[in-house]
Amino acid sequence: MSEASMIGLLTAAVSFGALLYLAALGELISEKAGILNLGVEGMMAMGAVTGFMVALETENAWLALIVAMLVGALFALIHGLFTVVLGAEQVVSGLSLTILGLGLAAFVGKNAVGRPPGAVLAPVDWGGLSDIPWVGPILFSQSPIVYFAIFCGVVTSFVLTRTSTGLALRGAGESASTVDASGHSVVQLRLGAVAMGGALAGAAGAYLTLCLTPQWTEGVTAGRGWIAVALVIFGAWRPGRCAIGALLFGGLLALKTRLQTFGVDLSPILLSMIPYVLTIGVLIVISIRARNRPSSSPAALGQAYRREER
Amino acid sequence: MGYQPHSLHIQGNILAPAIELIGITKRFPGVLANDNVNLTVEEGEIHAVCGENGAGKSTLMKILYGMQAADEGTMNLFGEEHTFHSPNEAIEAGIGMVHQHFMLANQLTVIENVILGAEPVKKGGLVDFDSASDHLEEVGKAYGLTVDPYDLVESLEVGERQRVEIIKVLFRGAKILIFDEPTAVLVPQEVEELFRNMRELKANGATIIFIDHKLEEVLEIADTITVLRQGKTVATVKPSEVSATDLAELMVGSELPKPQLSDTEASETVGIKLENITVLAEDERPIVDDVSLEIRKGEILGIAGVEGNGQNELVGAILGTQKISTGTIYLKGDDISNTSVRSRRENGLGYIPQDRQEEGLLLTAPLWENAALGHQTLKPFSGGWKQWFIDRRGSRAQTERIRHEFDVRTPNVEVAAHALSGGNQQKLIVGREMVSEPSVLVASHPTRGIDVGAQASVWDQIRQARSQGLATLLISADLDELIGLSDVIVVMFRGRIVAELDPSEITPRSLGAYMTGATAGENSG
Repeated sequence: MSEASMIGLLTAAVSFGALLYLAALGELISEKAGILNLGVEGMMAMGAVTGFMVALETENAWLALIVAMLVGALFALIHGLFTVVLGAEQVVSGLSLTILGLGLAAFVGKNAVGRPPGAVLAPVDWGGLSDIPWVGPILFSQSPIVYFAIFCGVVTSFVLTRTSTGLALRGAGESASTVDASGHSVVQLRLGAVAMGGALAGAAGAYLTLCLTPQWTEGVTAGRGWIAVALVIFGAWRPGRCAIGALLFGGLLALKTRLQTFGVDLSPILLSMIPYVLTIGVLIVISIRARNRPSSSPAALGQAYRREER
Repeated sequence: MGYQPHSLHIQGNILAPAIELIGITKRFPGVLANDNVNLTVEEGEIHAVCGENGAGKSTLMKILYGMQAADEGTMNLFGEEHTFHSPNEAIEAGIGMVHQHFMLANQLTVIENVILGAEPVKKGGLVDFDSASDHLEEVGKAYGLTVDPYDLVESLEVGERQRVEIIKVLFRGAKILIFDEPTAVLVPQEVEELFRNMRELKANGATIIFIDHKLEEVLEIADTITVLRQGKTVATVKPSEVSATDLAELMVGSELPKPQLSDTEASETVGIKLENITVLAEDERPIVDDVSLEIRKGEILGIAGVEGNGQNELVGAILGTQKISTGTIYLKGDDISNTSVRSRRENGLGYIPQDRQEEGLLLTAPLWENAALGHQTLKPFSGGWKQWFIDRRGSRAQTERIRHEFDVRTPNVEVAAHALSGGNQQKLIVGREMVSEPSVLVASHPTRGIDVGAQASVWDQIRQARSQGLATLLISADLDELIGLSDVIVVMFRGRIVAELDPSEITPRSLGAYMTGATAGENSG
């Protein structure tokens, strides 16, 4: 493998990794508050289509990104309404959200299929920094969303551990009744976390259609939302570890398009399976290794909280 | 005291009791949890509120703490009327609750748990952990409570967790502390420690409300005792004026029964017989080791033993959930060693499991479905093609019968099992086993964790079944119960039966010595 193709692979790993990281961070925030949202794929699709459509209309990629995040958040609040407010089963509601999101995105984006993008998020110009060998192309030639993802990771980690909102949010995922008794509002915390998760999934979707593959087709999310859900488990609900996982899984996604150029002669259909097969493999290894250790998942994850229950 | 003129208002507040609850009523669907309850707690006293499970103690405290709203009634704190809509408002008014089921997030640290909801914040919205831990240390020192603020709650012992709960409440500056059945989860040494802490708190001017149904404890620690029964206040007494028996009778509302047997009624027919039963643990070591015993009809055989000495596995072997490696079990003379659990149950083996919520009930299912569990293939629960269909009408009728004959207190048989108090859940289980008229009953800790009233009723049922010729295997950690109810007691130690004793000749103390292996072997054979 040449140096150039190695650099190319790593650069792509960071680009894809940022996509997964944004969605995984959103899911992490939601799960930290105790709400499992399996609708990531659907929220991502909604973000992808709205981002692309807004860019078509306005030719403003930044506005497109912001609208995609808002749509993602609103869409996630459907899940919030059912699970947090009405106490519905989280798995069912989340799966419905994915199905709804994929279908609705395909419907909304029908006329946008195949059209050239109205605007794209161009890579940030870091000046001389991008000339540094290896580091330059890998870290300093990326789209602004990559840096946004890193920023979000740092902020999330900080807010969760150092602020009272973060403490209460983690509490809501560990023992909702404790948080309720302490005077924080479980409903507000959880709704906020779910909306935040939707916004980040929406951003990940917009990143796809405004930058990574700047066009809209049905099914452009290609199951990456599910990888994001798996990443949260891989990262043991920690923003830092999720980042490492995101790079690893991003690398796998990047590998797929490159294996052929490396001379691997395999059906492209089999090649595109590789990242997903490896995802399953990694998760199996993780869960076997974690079997004898106490779980790091939030204790109240998936549990509805109703106050008046005796 | 009448209304004070304005100039005396402040003085009036000082004289007013810390808490005055007047005419509190709270209804749940189908249940009247509090029925016109009155409670007055003076400042600086330890006031015990006791009553059976389901008497409305916890509900009353939740109302006081703002977790639930009363339907009727007023609440005065230091002479001022308050209505709380959330625990937050109660906390602001100086009330703190030490919950029975700890309100702690296990994967947060002690300090994170303590400050949750009362976070000291420095500039920029960041939590000030340093000043928080200083404050925590101060509070801990002032009341003699110590824990490491940076330990994960997960890593703490039960007693330490409770201390965190207490510190949490004090951290918020509570003047009135509610302890909801604080001793339920503690071992005796921890109870002593807790009582020391409570006296310390009182000496520092705190007012304490203490919920409990263990009467000796109440008499030891309380200055005043209020008794609730079926949602009503029945009496407020001083501990010096009453005995434990008086209190129990106030709680139950009638004279208190004891576990005691009439003369032997055992017949010659053997109900169940175990021959050289051995059960192996996962690591191939015998966990039940060559146990032989027989129980005649009309006889109760009690098994004493420190938990974990093979009792559960022996029960499993009899029931059929545990594979036996050697030995034979005869039920009414038939070898059942290799038959299925269902066939054993259908042939008259009744079972009261030690953990009613884990093994005995489907908590979210209605009572009539629960009543069918274990008997679902038999009439009147089943009907139709090869016992394949559940006879819903028959099941409901049978459940109604259990409800009346066994005094299961519930609005109807459609409510979910989790809506019943522990005692009523247990009465349902006992009833469901008894109405099927088993010939052998395995009762594992049948009165664990239930109140005196329900306990007495379970004892009654076991005694009655004995005189009707039931062979009963009784396992219990309550030695008084074991001695009072059994015709014969055997002691299990490390999987073996090490002694066979006559209950009329032993005391809980001497039985305890056998259980720890101190006098093993001497009396066996």
